Amino acid sequence: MKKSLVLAAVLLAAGAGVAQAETATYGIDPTHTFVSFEANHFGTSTLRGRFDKKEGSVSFDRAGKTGKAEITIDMKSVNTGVGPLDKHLSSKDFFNAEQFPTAKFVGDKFNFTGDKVAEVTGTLTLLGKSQPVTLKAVNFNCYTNPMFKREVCGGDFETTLVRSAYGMSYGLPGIPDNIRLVIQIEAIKQ
Amino acid sequence: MKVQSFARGAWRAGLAGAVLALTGLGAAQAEPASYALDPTHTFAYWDVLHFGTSTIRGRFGGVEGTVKLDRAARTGEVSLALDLTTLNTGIAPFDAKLRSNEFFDVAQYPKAWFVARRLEFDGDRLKSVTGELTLHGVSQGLTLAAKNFNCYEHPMLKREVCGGDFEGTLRRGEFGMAFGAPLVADRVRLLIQVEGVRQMP
Repeated sequence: MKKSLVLAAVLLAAGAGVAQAETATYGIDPTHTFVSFEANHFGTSTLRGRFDKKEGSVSFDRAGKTGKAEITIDMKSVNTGVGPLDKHLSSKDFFNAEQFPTAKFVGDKFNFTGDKVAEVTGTLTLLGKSQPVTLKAVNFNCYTNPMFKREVCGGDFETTLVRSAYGMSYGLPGIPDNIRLVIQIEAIKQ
Repeated sequence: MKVQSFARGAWRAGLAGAVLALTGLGAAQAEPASYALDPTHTFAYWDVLHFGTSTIRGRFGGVEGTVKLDRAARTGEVSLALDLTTLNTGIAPFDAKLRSNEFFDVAQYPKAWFVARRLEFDGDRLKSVTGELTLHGVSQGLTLAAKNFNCYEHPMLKREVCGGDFEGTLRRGEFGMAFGAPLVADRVRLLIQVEGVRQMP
């Protein structure tokens, strides 16, 4: 009796372990996923912009502490609230969005603190050039969305790019080389 | 002797002139300068935590008003009107929801106002601005703290531009906009980018 209980408990624990070790795939929620950027203006104030169109998916295994993220950004969807600035940013001076309509981040190294994602390292391809990038989590959490009745995982991530490393050198040094990225992401379990 | 007294007199006149000049300069500095807001570098951003997980961000453009600063006397006055119809989160249906009577109710309250006369300085740099925010028909005290503040000579305008980044927090429930709380946080952070061009007296 005792033996069989222990065996059942072991089997249950093993079963739970297997279930947790499975990699879950999440589709990004475009209404809660945005890449925003910040650039210092004349050493005075912070100019902000946002990309409104994006798509991607994330898969990760909280028990195995592995994961993969792929996010594609439509560079023409840049939105600063200043129309002429958006046009200038889309032009050859900056994003050259005609020739390079998208930027892509592929994150393949997930660092965890406990079962929370702490960092995602991967490659950002922008203006046709690929550079390593590490996104640091400021927030990370999973919850059951009351409307979808599905698990949603997400958070806030930050990194700083050196734009000249991608060949985007227009206006240096008056327009700074270091651009901070602030990323909101939520993804729904598939 | 005569020469000496003439010299002394001239020196005295010179000193008097210098004192007058200094006084005059002081008076000029003590006059508050008016700054016209640059709409391309003036935005009110807000952010709020969604389900304890990620940060929703939105933006208002359309900031109008006057800013007067007297950096020598360390005083000033800020009077701003914010056009709430300019709300932009990047998601059109969400913007429509926020403009509706469940949130900002822009049909009834198209503008928010921030009026402040308590300005704190650190040297000649503006450190914080304390005043009253009127939003959704409710007025509450609000302090905006400067994260950055600087004045520079604009190379194209050939005029002084002052500006910075200011942050504050409010509880939206206190303004009668509690919809969705607490799943979407009550505490909202404001991030204000502002630059103003000094006007001729």
